[in-house]
Amino acid sequence: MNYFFGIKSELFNTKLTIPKFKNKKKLNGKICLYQAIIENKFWKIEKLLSYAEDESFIYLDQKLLDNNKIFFISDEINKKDLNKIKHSELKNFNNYTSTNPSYRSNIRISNDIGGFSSYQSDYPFSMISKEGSVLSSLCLLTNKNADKNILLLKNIYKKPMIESFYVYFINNKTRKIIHKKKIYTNQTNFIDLSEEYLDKEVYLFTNKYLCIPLYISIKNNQISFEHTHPPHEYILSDDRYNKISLLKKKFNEIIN
Amino acid sequence: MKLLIKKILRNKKIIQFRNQFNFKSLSILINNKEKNMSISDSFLWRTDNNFTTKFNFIDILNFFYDMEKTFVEIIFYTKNGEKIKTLKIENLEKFNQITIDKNFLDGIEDYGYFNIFHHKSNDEQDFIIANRCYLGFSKDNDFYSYVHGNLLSKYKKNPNSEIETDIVQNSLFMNQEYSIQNNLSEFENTEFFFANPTSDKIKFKIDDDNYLLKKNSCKIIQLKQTNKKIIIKSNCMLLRPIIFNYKNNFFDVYHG
Repeated sequence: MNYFFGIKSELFNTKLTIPKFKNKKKLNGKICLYQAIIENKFWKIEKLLSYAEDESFIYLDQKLLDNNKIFFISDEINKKDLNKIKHSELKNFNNYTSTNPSYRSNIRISNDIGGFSSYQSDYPFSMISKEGSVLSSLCLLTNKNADKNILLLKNIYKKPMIESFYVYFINNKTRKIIHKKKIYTNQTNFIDLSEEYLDKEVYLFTNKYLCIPLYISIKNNQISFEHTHPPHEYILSDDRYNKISLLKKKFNEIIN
Repeated sequence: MKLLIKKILRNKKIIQFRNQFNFKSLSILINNKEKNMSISDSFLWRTDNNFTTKFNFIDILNFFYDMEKTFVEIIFYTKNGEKIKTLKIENLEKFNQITIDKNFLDGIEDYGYFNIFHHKSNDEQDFIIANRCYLGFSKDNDFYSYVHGNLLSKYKKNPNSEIETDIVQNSLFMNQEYSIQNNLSEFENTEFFFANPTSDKIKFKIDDDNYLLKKNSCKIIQLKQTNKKIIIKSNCMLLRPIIFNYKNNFFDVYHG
């Protein structure tokens, strides 16, 4: 199962496009859109009734998007079940979006002049239920000469809590923390990247919760928007988790 | 006996047969018993229409394995699979960047693909790694819009070995469908980039138009239709394009 998310910012407009089709199976029945938001320390999950759609896609504009709202699509879920349960955890509500290739939405950001950029996004359920660390180079997807480089760290965690944790910018050569910032679970966290952080030796590292690092560059109204791969995508041999664990251990030693 | 059955089931023709009839179909095959594999996407370069391409990559062997004396060979091809040149880069940094413009390619204004293979200086290798790093594209200026690699294509077992392929599998006929998970009717113009990740020719169809992708070739196709949902039918199990969308003098690039 995949969750989807939008972004809200004064810097750009956002549109989330979620397909209603699967690649390898035909649709059975009506597809519904559900929204989850934390309310009074529980997940409030409700079926959305008013949004734009056509036979192939669901469209959510920025009026419906926020940095703490998440979405999933499903066959109809019994309304009684949804309302009567105080959801103390996000669960795998259905397997509608468990597909191969991955079931993805398109998240597009744009400005009023016409610049736009997007990527095919999803937040897999397997990430929601885990704690862990994230490692990503600040240099790979940014433009040093941009007017603005922004890092977004999106976390979705199964428990309905907004807990702070730190992201560290670490110089891997000097083994020094050059910046640290408090970020939050179940939020889209925004961090401005000044030029000093866009060094080829600088990596972001979190050691408590997983998140997806998204990079936005803006120059003369042009936009670039993309995410980095998690480290395990680079190693395919059986020792992959061992190697990555050793690497992350080194970064953990720097922050502890 | 089990080994024999496994060997038979992994025969190329048998896999194509399995994929044709969706009997234990297999999209990706990586032999984890191999000790040495450096796998690469077939990354798009383009210098046509005032495009410049930037390639950002990490020294995977140094970063994850702490190996010294590592190097990469990057092999550039035309769209028809003719070799243009090979670049061997030693003295790698953890983060590396190459700018591919027409000067870099001896005046070629066109498009094609390149593969990158990571090695260490002695012949002993013991890893399976994949470079799925990051391409930036700029048009008429020096601002790059980024996209990550998304299709394992070719590999080498060591610096002196032949380039091998067929990680991505085929079926016998065009019975595989992949729908782009975005509404493409919103743009003035859309291009799809496909690279053949197999050693066979790939036949594919976008809506009603038929195309052929020869072994070792790649193709940029300008979409003729502006349907909301675009279906790609092919005999390849994973034929996902890099997508360029154009509107109001701006462009966006992302993987399908």
